[in-house]
Amino acid sequence: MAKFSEVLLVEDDPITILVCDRMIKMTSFAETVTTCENGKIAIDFLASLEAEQKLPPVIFLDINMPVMNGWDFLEEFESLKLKFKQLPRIYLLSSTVDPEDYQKAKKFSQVEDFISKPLSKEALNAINGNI
Amino acid sequence: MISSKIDSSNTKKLPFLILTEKILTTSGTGYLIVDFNMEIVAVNTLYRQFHILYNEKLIQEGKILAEKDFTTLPDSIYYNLKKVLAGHHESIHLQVDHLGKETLSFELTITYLGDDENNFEGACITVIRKGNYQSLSANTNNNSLHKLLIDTSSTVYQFADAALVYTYTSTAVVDIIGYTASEMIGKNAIELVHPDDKGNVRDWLIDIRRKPEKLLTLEYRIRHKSGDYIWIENNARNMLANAAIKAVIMNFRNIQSKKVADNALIQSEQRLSLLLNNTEESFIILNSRLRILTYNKAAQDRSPFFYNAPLQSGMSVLDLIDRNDVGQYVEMFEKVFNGEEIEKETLFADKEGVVHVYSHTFRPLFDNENDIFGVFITSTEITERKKLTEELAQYTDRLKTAQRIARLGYFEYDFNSKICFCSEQFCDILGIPDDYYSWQELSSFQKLIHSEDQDAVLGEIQRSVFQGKDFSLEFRCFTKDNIEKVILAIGSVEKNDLGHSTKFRVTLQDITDSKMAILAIQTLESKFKSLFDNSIDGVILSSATGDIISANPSVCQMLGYSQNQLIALQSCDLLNMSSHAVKRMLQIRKKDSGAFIGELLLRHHLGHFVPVEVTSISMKDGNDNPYVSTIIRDITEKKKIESEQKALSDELVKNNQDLQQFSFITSHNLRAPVANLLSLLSLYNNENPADDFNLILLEKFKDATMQLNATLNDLVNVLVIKSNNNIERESISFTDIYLGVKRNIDALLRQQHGEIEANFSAVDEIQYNRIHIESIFLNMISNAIRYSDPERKPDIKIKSYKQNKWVIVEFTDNGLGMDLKRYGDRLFGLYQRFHGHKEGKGLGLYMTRSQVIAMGGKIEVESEIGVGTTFKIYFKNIN
Repeated sequence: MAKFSEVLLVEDDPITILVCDRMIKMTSFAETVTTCENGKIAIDFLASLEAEQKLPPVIFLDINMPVMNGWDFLEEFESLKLKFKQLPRIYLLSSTVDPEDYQKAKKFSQVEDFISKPLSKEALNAINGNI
Repeated sequence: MISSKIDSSNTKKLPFLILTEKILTTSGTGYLIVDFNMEIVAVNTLYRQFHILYNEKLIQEGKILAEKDFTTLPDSIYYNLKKVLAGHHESIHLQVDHLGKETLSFELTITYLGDDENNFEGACITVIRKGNYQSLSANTNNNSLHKLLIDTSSTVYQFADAALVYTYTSTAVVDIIGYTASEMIGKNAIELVHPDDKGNVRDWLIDIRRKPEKLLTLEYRIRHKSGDYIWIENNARNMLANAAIKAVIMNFRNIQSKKVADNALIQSEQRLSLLLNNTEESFIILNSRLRILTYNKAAQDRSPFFYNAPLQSGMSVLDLIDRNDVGQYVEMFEKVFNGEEIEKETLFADKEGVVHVYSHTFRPLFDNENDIFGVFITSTEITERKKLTEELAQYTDRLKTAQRIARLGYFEYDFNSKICFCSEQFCDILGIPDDYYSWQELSSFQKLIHSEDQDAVLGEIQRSVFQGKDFSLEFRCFTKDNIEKVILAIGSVEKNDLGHSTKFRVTLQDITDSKMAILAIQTLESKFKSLFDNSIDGVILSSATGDIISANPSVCQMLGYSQNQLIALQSCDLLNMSSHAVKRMLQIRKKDSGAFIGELLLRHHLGHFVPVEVTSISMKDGNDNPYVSTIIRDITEKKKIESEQKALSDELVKNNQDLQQFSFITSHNLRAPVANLLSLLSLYNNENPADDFNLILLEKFKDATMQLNATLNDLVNVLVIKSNNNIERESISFTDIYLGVKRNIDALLRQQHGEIEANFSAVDEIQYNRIHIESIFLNMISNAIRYSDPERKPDIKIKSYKQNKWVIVEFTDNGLGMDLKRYGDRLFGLYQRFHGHKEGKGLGLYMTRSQVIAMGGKIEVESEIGVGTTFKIYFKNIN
């Protein structure tokens, strides 16, 4: 029995998508993994869920993406989240080493934590443990 | 002579009164004599009988006669007595009748009595009962007595008949006019009279005949038997109608000596009064009872007493003196009567309020017997003299004080008397003992003078003495304590009419301190001057109102003015008054001793502003006048260096940030594929290598490795650009570059049906690095094609032109365009992508910008979504 029904993975790198998808399923972290290639696609996807009022409980968010990067997504989501009662936990998934990025992340209340790539079993277990 | 002093309280009879009494009593006349105070001095029985006849009280000597003593006697006696005493009348005749059993008539004469010698003033009342003649002549028993009296008298008694021929002459006549009595009988009264007096005598004789019983007196000259004329006083009474006498009775006496004396007295009195009344010196003579005996006109004006009453003979001076001063004056007069001579000064303010100062001398008056009988007061106005004396004293004092204050010594040498005078200050300045006064040789001072100055001083003095020129010289001298002093001597020589030098006067001043001070100031000033003139810093001194007073060469050079031009200016001419710093400076300077230190701009002569660092202080000079001292340092160079440094450090910071960013990004971009590789490995199914998923993993492993490789290559390229500081330049034609790049992307262009329109007619040649410029062109053109709008055929325009120092190449497309508001800040960032196309790595624009910047250029972008984008590449024009 998976911990979560669904994980939204916002990521443009195909290898990362593949690895994450495999990892989540191997550890039964979530039943389904939805992938969006950039922030824009993810926002559009989440907006489409308004009627059902059923957001994925966990979002793994990459920062460096074309069209709309992770930060742009978070800013867009700030206005989008007002439409939902239940909000997802967002984990930033990045290989960044820029300390500014860590500071920036704190500005968004929705961001739960920073996870360094590659996504590991330990990281997923830690999320489980916190919840 | 009557000579004893009279005292008002003395009731002793005066000698002359004794004689008078004898005569009057003998002649049957009653008399009463009072002094000035109405005190009865003498009274005889006949008068007392007359007085008592009227039932008045008994009167006696020593009593003060008053009105009540005349109750039944006619008042007129008392009032007339007062009148006579007051000097209104010399004498007054009255007739008084007594109505008793028989009517008695009395003839009263009130006469003023004055005896200066005896200081006696008073009056005498004589009373004669009418009809005495009868009793006199009827009393024949007394005939022999009368005869004796007449014959022993020095007065000549004569009887003349109606024709005025002498019928009797007493024997005394021979003593007066030489003729014997018998010789005189039968002579007419007009005979022997001096021809000049005959007219008067005739008139007198006629008068006698006409006025019976009236006593008529005349003074005239009569010829002595020897031929000389003698002055006589003849008294005659016509008694022809008297049956008992039937003659004119005459008696005369010799008044020759009296007349001569009178004349002399009159003359001398006239001369004296002329003298006294015209002299400035006033005098007042007082008798022993302090009554004014006489005074001159001047005395009226400058009496030692008050002005309030005019002086008057007979007045007591005590009445003129202020009540409060009486005691003081009485004390003074006592001293005078003891023989002292007293001087006294009085002050009086006249009507105009001008104060007059008088000096009075009170001298005792001595009579022949050396007794003091009065006071002689002389008065002189000394207002002017007093003023002059005071002024002189003041002037002398002032001069002395001035000399003392100025420490001015005075020396005087008289060539005639060969005496020199040195003031105290003179000795003090030279530090010589006061006994230098006794040094009579001018050259004595020589050894005091500093040996180096001796010749100069002596030369100057000699020149001055011989040529009579004034001199002023400074010399050094040694005091007795061997202290060196600097002395300023100013001298002059006085000459007489003949041109001979008579006096040599010198003033000395110790100027050691001021000399030292001047030297110190001069040294200081020259130091400051050289500092002022040679300072690299500019110095401006200005007044509190902003007038520039002084400016040193440095500031003149700094601002391009001449010194005179600057001094003609106001400090506001140099300042930008609206600037904040200037306002602050003025505000700070307003405070006392406020010093402003800061940077300002000063207007150069040519109009531009020079950046300066200013230290401006409000100060006060020796006279407490405020001025402003401003030190100015030109900081143009400093500013330039500063701005260069700032640019440099800005660039360094930016480069540093770039590098940091680069390192973050590269590490991220290196970590990403590595992370992929690691995660792929972790998913590999070791237990079953034939697992299908392993094949997929392998495929992905390959991709990740390639990705890592590509990233590494990109980074290497970037590093090459970034680290290559000495990029080779060559002459490059934009047309050549464009054509080369176009060949490479021709296939892509054709595939998109795009067109490029290039125009390098304005600028075609540039000094640049070929590889960089090829890379820039390739990136720009391929981006334009890559991000073209699928709805439109790509239409790309390239043109070159010059703008200022730049050569600009513009790439304009009609592609998708970008929201610059959103992405502008990271458009040129490393690995930033804005389109979902797979081929975009986010490296192209980063590379282009790095290349442009490395060559000192810049890149600008304009874009609109759905319209297109224009990139402007600014190349530094090296030509």
